[in-house]
Amino acid sequence: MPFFFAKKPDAVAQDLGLAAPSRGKRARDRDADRFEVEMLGHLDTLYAVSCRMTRSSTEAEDLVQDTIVKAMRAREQFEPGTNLKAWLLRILTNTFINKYRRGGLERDLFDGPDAESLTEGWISASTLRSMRDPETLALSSIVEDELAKALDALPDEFRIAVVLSDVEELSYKEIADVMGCPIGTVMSRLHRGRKLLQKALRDHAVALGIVPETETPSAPSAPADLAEYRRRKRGVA
Amino acid sequence: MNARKLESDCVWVRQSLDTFADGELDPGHAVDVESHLGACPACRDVLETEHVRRRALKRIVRRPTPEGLRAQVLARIEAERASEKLEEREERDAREERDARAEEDTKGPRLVQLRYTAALAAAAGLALAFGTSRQWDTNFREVMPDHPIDASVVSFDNVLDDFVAMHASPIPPETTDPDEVAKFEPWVGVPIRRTAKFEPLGGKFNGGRLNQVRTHAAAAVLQYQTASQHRVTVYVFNTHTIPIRLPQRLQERMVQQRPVYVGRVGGYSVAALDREGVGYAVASDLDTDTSARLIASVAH
Repeated sequence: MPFFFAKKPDAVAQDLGLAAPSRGKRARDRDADRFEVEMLGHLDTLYAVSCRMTRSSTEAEDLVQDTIVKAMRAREQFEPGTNLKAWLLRILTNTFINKYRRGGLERDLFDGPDAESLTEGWISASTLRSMRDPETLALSSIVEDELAKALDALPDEFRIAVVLSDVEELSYKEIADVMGCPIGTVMSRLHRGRKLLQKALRDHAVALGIVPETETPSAPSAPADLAEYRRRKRGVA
Repeated sequence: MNARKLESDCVWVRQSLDTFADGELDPGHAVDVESHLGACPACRDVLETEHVRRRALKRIVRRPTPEGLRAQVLARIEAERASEKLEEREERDAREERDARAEEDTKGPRLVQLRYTAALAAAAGLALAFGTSRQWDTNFREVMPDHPIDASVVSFDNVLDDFVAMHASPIPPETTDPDEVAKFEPWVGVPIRRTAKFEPLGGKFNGGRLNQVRTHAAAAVLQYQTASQHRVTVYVFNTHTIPIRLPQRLQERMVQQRPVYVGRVGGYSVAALDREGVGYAVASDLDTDTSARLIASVAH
């Protein structure tokens, strides 16, 4: 009995259910609810990105579930006001790497400045236009299928970077955080990934006979040199 | 601007175009690119190509979440919250007990006038009884749904699908201690501890977790491994909230004078039975006869 006598009145009151739970806890619960609602708002994004990462809808479902559980457990670490989508995609990407790519993402085959210009394998907008559906002005579904195949054929690190940028419109900094690499690496991966996609489109156009194999882009092929460009610009100005 | 200069700018501008389209080019260079684009249709063409490609990619990649996955995700969130509440409650109980003990130690016997003692003791006793039941009730309601329990909505066939899915892709257990599963009892509303001691075909208990079923109720999910390395998952639930009614894909048979439902769902062998309000279901890759024997011995 001394146990109960020693109890402070408010503790007894709490036992009796007279005192409401502290404001802090309630506020926390409200935050938790909001977090969950916002997280569910990004479910389609997580699923879509997951499908492209794993290239399998069953594995994508597992990956999404793992991501949601981890996010629930780590939600105290999320800073309100920052980009929740990027935060969730970081968990998703890390889970993907740990589960399917134990060694982490492969290092880029060649690091260092890329001397090739974007026009390598480039097809003109007019060629692309002729590959479009005249009604919707979108690429025809056959061409989209080719693009989808090309996307899935990209190395993981290129594909993830391209999806995060072109589809999810994350900034370079956010992609660098998600993929755990420097911004320079993000730019290089994006550049190479996009070029491979363009090349696939061009190859398809060649196969369709829309462009001759020998068509060269109209851009000059002189090696680019930023320092040279700036020098000339200063000279002109 | 002369043609030669324009053409030599193209080299640099084209290399910056994707960064420009990403909105990541620094403002000084972005201005240069914009003024070049104004004068150079060829570079505008390249930029348009880039935009068409991106729009196509968005259409290719974006897709809605399948309803099944959405339901599973909701269940995982609920289960996650339930286990957090469980932890929170344990922490609070442990803290209160510690506080109470500490005060007892420092203050020693309290001087309470004798004539108040009886009244206080009675009040405190009431507080304990009322407090405990109330706390249980509150916790239960926090985890349990706001929707009224409408048993007719919970189709046991759907529940079976969930159970088999949980067996096919097992979720890591919340506890591996057979004694700790007793903590799930307030949520499930039936005894579970004994089931954790079950040794299917000489096997061992791997762990258990609490799982939300169709947002209506909770079931304990207990994972075992038989001596011959077969995984066996046992579900324990309250048949008041999850009634075993006419599972269409299962057949009734009698084992030890008791009706048992057996069959195959999603390629796995499944058996279920209701014993005095406690529902048991088992999923494994064993054969039907073995499952029937297992379910009978789980609920012995």
